[in-house]
Amino acid sequence: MMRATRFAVLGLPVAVLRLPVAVLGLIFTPALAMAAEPEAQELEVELARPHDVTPETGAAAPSTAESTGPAPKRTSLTETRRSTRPMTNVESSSAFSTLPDSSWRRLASAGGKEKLFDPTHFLFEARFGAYAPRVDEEFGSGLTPYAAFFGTSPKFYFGVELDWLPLRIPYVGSVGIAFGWGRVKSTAKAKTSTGDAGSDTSLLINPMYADAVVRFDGLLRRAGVPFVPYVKGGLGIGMWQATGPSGTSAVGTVTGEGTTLGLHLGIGGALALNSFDRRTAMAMRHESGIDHAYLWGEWMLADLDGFGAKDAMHVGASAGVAGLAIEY
Amino acid sequence: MKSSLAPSPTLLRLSRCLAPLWVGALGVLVALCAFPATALAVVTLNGAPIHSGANHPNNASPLVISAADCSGQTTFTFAVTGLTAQKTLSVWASSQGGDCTQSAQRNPGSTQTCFPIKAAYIPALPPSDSLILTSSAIVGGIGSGATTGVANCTDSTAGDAPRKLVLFFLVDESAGNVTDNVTYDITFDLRGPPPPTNLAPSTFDDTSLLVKFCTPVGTADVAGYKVYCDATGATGTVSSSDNPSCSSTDTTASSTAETTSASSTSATSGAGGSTATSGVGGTSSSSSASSSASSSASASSTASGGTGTCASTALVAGADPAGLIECATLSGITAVSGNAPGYTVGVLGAVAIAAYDNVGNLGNLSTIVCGQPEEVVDFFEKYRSVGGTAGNGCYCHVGHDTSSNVGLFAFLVGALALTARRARGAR
Repeated sequence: MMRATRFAVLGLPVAVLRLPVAVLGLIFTPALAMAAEPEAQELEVELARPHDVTPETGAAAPSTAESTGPAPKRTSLTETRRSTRPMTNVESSSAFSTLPDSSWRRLASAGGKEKLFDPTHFLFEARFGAYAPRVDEEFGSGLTPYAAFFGTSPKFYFGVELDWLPLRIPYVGSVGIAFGWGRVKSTAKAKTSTGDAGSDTSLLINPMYADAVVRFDGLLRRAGVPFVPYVKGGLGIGMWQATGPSGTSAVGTVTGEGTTLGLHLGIGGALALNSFDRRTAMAMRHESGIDHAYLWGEWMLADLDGFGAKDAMHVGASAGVAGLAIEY
Repeated sequence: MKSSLAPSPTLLRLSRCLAPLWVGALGVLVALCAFPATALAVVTLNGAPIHSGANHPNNASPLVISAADCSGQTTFTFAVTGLTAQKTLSVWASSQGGDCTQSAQRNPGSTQTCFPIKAAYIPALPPSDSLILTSSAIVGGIGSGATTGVANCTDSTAGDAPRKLVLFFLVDESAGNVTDNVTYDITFDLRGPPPPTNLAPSTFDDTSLLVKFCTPVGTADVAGYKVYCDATGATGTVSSSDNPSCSSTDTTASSTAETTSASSTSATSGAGGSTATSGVGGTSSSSSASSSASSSASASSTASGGTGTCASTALVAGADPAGLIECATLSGITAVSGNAPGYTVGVLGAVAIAAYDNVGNLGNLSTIVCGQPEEVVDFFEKYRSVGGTAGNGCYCHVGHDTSSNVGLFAFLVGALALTARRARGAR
């Protein structure tokens, strides 16, 4: 009974968190998914001990990693290659429980010093959220043209973001720039004097931004704490297009499309999923170079009001956004 | 030591060479024993017929005769071979499962189920001939009885489902003695499906009406709908635009509508002096209406379409829409609404819908309903009307579907970066 309760409380959330890593692992490590189990286990042990053994004799080799970390269990590569017996779960988990973090090993191979500039450090995000454009804030005295058509409930937001994080501040985190693109579409029936028409009208918004971003991943890299807070801010751009029954809307010669500038701000935190499925994460890193997978949440302010300009449609929003990210 | 009884090598080689000939000769012998040397007639369809009418592709349902095939005299060409002299060929048809090889079923009387299509035909001999049968001759061959027959390409039986008939090609040695026969199954469908019911027109945009309707119930023989518009010639009041309430009782509603339409059209045709008798499709009552409508294009019809009444100078409820030009076509039996274009804001217009089946048979028009487009306001018009000043700006397009292109671009950038990273790792 206690065991079942413990599983429900701890096991289920962990299983849920392991799922994205497993999916990403299957996507990026097809070789692992198709390999026979004993071969995979050999690979794992081999991966786990790149600096600890000499290939020919199995004797321990000097490793800078050992000078700072706990003494890992020594394993002969020769013996490992000979063994085709499937490893038990206990053996497997004990092997991985002593694995040093690859970033840590990278540091070790770099002489223990963290690289301050890494031009190939990227992060890619898939973003989903609820976005309620602030079109009606442009008007006073109870005029709500947006709500009259599309209501006040938020619309589905989808976006992608690519971060380039070339700078690393030791013990603090990574710094770089982020480019984001999103899509929000509000659709409703057009109106007549007596009710709804059969045709649709819509407002399509593409919120985009170019931000400076700081990801505080020092704790993750140094101490293995699987949480990375981050902030980002910069210039936001909202491209919008209004459509009616006959395509792009127009009133006289004024077409229903435009671009609104503004500020963009994001504050959030990312949960590193690697620690929930280290085996898949290790294989994914080896096969595809993906260092971490994150489940993240963010509060995003897209203050797209044209910096106060009068002829700008306010297409920004304050929105909660969440999604998955991969760092490589 | 070689035995004197052993065959010589030359003989052995010769027998091996001739072995296939022996086997062939044996096969011929068996065939002759199994099948007596009676000349058999062979009747084969010489290529699929080229069908008439719209919505009846030649490669779909090639052996189905539609109303357009019947009236357009689509022909079926049969190749006849294997007949010898002094023999005649007759062609009979039965739609009631009759056996036309039995003389009792061919002779006039209460037991007759077969009707002649071509009697005592003497093919040109030898060696073969082509027998050409028109679609109207084939379907007309099943007689013109009220319960089974077809007259003038009009099927007067109830329902709208396709029907089958069997063609019997009978070889007569002498009168009454059928020595051989070949049968051929043919399907004919001369009736269009019943019209949709409960039409409800409403404003789609400034120039179009959105017409919702209930699909005809009780028939699976619907492939789509044709919408007929009368944008300027309507009189009456705007019909209800409420969503139609469709249920399994719509079969009854449909029948009622047709009866009503036929009645009202009959009255109109009386005034118009219509006497035409030809027409295609529909039940006997609606067929009559169709004939009237065809010859009385200027006749007007009034039918009940929910609330309000509606009359049109171009559309007649329950009539055959032949000769009218549809303003829209809806494909698929699942369609429950369609747009009727060409209307003007504030001007009363009429609309009706007819269903068509898989071989292009067009059913009769539904009840006529009137609608009047209202001025439609979209979001941007509303935005500008309350004082919004944005617009006329740039919305950069990358191809037709901007979103997918930008997403693809982002994906490619990510993939490029990942590749660069992996390449670095490999080094």
